[in-house]
Amino acid sequence: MADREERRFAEVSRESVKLVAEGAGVELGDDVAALLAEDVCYRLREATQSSSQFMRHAKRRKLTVEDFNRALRWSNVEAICGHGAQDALPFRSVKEGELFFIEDRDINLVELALATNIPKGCAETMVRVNVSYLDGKGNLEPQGTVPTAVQSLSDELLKYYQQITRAILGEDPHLMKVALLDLQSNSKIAALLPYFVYVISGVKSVSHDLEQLNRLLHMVKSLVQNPYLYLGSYVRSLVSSVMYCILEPLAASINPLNDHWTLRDYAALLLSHIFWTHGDLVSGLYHQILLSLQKVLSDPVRPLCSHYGAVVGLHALGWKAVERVLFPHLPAYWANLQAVLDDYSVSNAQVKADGHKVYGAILVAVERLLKMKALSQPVEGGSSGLPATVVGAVGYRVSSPGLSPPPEPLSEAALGIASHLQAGGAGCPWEEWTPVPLPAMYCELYSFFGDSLAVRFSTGPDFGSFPTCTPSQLGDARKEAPGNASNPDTTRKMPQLTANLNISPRQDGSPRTDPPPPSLAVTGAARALARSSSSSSSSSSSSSMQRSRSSSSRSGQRSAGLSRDVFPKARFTSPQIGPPAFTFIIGGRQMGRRCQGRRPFQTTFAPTPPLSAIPPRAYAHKLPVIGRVGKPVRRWACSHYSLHLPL
Amino acid sequence: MAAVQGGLVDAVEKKDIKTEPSEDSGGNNNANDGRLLSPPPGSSASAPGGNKTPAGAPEDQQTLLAVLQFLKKNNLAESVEILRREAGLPEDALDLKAGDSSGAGSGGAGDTVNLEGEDASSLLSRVTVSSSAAAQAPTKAPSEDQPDVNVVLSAYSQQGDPALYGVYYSGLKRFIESVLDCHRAELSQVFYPLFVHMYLELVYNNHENEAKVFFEKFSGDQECYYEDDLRVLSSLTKKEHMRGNETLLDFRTSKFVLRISRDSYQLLKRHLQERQNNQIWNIIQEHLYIDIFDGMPRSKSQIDAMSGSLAGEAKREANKAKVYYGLLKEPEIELPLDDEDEEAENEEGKPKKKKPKKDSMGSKSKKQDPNAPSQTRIPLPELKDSDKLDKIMYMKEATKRIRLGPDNLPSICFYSFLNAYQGLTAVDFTDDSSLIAGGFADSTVRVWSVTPKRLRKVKSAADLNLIDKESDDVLERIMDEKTASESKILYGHSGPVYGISFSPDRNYLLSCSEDGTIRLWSLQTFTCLVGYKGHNYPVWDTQFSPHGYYFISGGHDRVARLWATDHYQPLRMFSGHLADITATRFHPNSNYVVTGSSDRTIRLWDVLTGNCVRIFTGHKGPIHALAFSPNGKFLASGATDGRVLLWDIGHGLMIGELKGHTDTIYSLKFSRDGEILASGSMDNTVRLWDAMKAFDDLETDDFTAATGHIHLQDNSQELLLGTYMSKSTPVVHLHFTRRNLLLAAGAYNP
Repeated sequence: MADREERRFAEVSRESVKLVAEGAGVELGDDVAALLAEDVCYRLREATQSSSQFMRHAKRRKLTVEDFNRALRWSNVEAICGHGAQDALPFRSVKEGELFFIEDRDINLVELALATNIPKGCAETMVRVNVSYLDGKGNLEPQGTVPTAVQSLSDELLKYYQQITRAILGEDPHLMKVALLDLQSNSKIAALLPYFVYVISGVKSVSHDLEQLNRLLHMVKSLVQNPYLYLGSYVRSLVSSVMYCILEPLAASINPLNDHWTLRDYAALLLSHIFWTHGDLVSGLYHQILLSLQKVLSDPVRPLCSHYGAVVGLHALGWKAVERVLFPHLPAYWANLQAVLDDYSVSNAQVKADGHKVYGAILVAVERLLKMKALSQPVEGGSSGLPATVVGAVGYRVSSPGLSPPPEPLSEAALGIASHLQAGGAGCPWEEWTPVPLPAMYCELYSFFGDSLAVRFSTGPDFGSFPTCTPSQLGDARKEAPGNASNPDTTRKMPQLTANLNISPRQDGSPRTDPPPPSLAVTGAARALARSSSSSSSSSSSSSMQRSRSSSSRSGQRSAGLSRDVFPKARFTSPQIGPPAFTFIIGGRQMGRRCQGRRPFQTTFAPTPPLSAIPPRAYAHKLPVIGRVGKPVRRWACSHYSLHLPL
Repeated sequence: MAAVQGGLVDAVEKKDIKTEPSEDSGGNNNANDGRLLSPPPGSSASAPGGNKTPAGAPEDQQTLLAVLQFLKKNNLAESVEILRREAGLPEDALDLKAGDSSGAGSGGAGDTVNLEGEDASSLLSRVTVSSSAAAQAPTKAPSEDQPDVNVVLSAYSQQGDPALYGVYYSGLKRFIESVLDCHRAELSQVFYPLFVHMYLELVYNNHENEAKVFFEKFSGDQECYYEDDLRVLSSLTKKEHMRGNETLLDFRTSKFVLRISRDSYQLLKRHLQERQNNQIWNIIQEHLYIDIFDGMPRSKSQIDAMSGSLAGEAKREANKAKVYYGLLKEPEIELPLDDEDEEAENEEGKPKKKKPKKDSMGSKSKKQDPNAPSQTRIPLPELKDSDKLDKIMYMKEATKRIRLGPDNLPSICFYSFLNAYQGLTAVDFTDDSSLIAGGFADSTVRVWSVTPKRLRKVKSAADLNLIDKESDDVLERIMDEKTASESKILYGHSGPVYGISFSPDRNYLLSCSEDGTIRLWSLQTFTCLVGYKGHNYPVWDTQFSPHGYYFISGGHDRVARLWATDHYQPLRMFSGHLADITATRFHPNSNYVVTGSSDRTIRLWDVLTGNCVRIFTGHKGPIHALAFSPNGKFLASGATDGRVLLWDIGHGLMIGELKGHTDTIYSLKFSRDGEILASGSMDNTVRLWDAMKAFDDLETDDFTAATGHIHLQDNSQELLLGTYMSKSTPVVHLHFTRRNLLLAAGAYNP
């Protein structure tokens, strides 16, 4: 057998036969084994031959195990079980022993039996009809697949297209490089642009495969860099593909081992590149990008990797973008992030790690923001003539009657942007946005990041700038407010779980004398004092629910730094009431109709040791945590402290 | 699969008995000539003398004797007695012969009678007879082409020097290459059968290594379309393997038919005689049937067009029988053609309208087509009222039919089976395109309603009792509205369903399956009515007769069966194919059925007599699609080789070859008026062909029906009207609606 030069068929060697015989407890002589081996080969060939008949009649191209078993059955041989799986079984070899085997892993039946994610049954077989060709001419249009779409191209182009896509998406890295280079410099591929764009839009279907995503992004880069290509409106499509890589919770991110962060970084870079080089081709592209980034950032349901993407995306778009979107959004976001970072439970470890990534990204973004801002307006910092400061806005909110501190902690302008973005441009124009002065910004950021901020300004004078708000400015802000407050969400009738934080209206200037809030960390007391002293100097109080919440969820572990607790919880602790009380209301239509104003039920959370050192995390647990609760940030604007929990 | 053998041997035997007289013509006589002229080598020199004797004896009797021997050996005394009595043989005939032979055999004389007479118990042992001169003589016997049990079991025991096989073969090869061009193509036909038989002889006589060498050396010379068979052959290197190998059995039981002009044949004969090349000559005598014709030798392309089948070309005699391919007269339908819309018109308009319409429809059927069988040639079921209504519907639709042509191609609707997971194996539409059924690999049959009308079951017996049977809408009332659904699943088979067919009246559905049964389902109750058992092996295809009642089935057992729905046993069994029957179709006049097989031949069978009336060769792969033209004159066939061949049934000729598909053709359909042929293939395309042109060209041609040598022009590209791609969906079925809209169906394979 060995002496046959050309092997026409798979052959079973004498040794194999002997081995099998031994396994069955039979000793075989060499010649017997040889004869048997040859016969086995022949029978195998015969069975294969007849199995192909079953394949042909089943109108398939692929010979299945089932076909082979049928052939065996019809020749009165027992079928072979256990090879029916659709996926190809990996064929492995042991190097030392020249042994080849099919990998057949053990299956944990207990796990399988107790699995909760029971696969849904296969979809129903059905018949669907479509008119494919009218009068024999019909739609030669691409029917969902590229290859048919490419039919209309000349042969050379078609070949080029196939070669390039194959090379880029193929296995050979060298080939890929060559293909990408050519794509970057080829001057004759304008006709293929739509197809390449189409291929790139395939990112959505390969979100499980980082490698492929990477390659597609490289393809984008090559196309963008090709000086002979006029991208035209295809920019939009390219941007959306890139945005997909930046923002979407890719399937690949499920596995923490996958380095999707780099992909997002790269995609963000690419985004900025496209924007800076081709951004003029599509009007409003910038706004659209900002809009979608902002949307993601403000959506706490999204996983942290999406938020990360949004932050790096903003960062890549420049410090102005960061200032416009990220910065105003930060306080709201901070709460959620903080909650994640403070959760030390084991189950949270992965999320927490992701949280740190986001934290880092924000840090980098704001640092550059500060740096750039400092460079661009070195003098303005600390000047008192700035209009509509944060404090002013906040001041308005707080002074408004009722128990609704403003949801947006920073400026009205920031809120304006947000609503503008969210309303898809229907709100106030973009230009209404007013920049926050550097010192204020720094203060604010410092309050979040503390010494982690690599950019340094002295914090002292900055505080001084806060009270610069004049009542008139406040008044302006007040006028603006209703417009912003007329959020459609206020009239929402959705049943919702509303968390109300009952705080007695705070007294101007009183916080200083207040007993430290229960949620405050020990160190917080001092900070609160410091903060309240500064805030008391302002004509109206400057606090926001938002911030207090965020600080409440902030851990007390942070090392002291006066400015850090700029917005201590102290502000919503009333002098009279010790612990703040949370009430959860299930409201909505029901509330409107029957129990108007009354609460069907009310739960009060009395933080157990009100004044002890128990960290504010106690609240944090009750508060929505990123990724678990629906859209709290936006709802604050409308429903007064209420956290919408999707019921 | 091996188990087929037993039954098959019998089948072949019977057939051979039937066709014996014809085999005794041309080739046979020549065989004898040759034998006389070339004395075989070795000690068996006395063989020719002996040969003459049995040749003179009544061959029928010899065959009978052989059968008797066989029966006796198997202790079927009763059968022996009956057969003997019926044949009118004397009681001692058998014994006498046996005694005779034993004497002669021991004497070592190479008498052919020996073989017939030898004790049947030695039949199998003969197989292992060693290569001695003594054994050589008796084994010459099969050279006299008496197809008896002995021959079937012990061919190839012939022995020569194994080392010389290659020499012989290459000698012949050199000779054929040196002859005139006009003969070379014809004589080259000999190569393949010679090669196969020489190889098998080597294997049979345990010269494994020589066989391998021989194969390696010459397999490359064979025509590419024999590739599949060569693969089977090459896998076979041991004598033990020969037993139970189907392909092999085919080679041994059937003579390979070659058509060679007289001149070429003389050339070959002379060469072999000069060279005293008995080895080859013997094979030609034993295993080849040379159909000699007078006239011009055929060209290479002519030969290639017709060859490719497992057993060579069809003998000319096989296609001589008269075939009544005309259509039956349409039954007179009393009911007025015009209803609702025309009834609304005034009274005097009515008769006027009626007349011309009826004429236009009936004119064709009024005159009896001279080529049509008589109306009562086979009994057909009487038309029911509902059938007549349907006919009226059909005619009405026909008036709205779109006239197709090269400039007016049909629209195509694609019915995609989604989520079928590679399991769709068969599809059928009803004639009125209201229902679609699919057969699946998971043994189910599913029926869908294509129209908004949903599928309903008949009420249960208890509920039916409550119905007012006199009411006008009783047919509506018997239906159970609760069961209405878009689709129904029919469970019953225990293997993949390979073929399905609706009855013309839409009341029944047939399905055939790997489990060897054909099932008849009611589309009123959606239950199985009958399971027809007869094929003991997978049934590959089945189809209802266009007039209902009868149906045809064919499968792995190589026998096509004709059934009637009310008989649990087949009415006819058509045997003759050398391999699986892969496709079956009824002629539009229900008098004939056509079967396509993996032996790469198509056979047309007469339902009345059960005879094979046409054998068409030319395909190079198993035939998976067949379609008659609506006028019954032509046949189209498609195979795994991706070619569509067109046949003239009346003349028994190939008249066209349509090349274009790149994969197996699974479906063929003529448009309602026969202008367009649609073919659907595994290559995910539907192609439309100009059938009119293909047939017209032929009629102007001066083809020589007598010799059957056609010259095909390669005009596939002119005839191809369009190629239509699907979305990675192999086209499993095609159907023209009554208005000539083309429906295609297949399962989407993402």
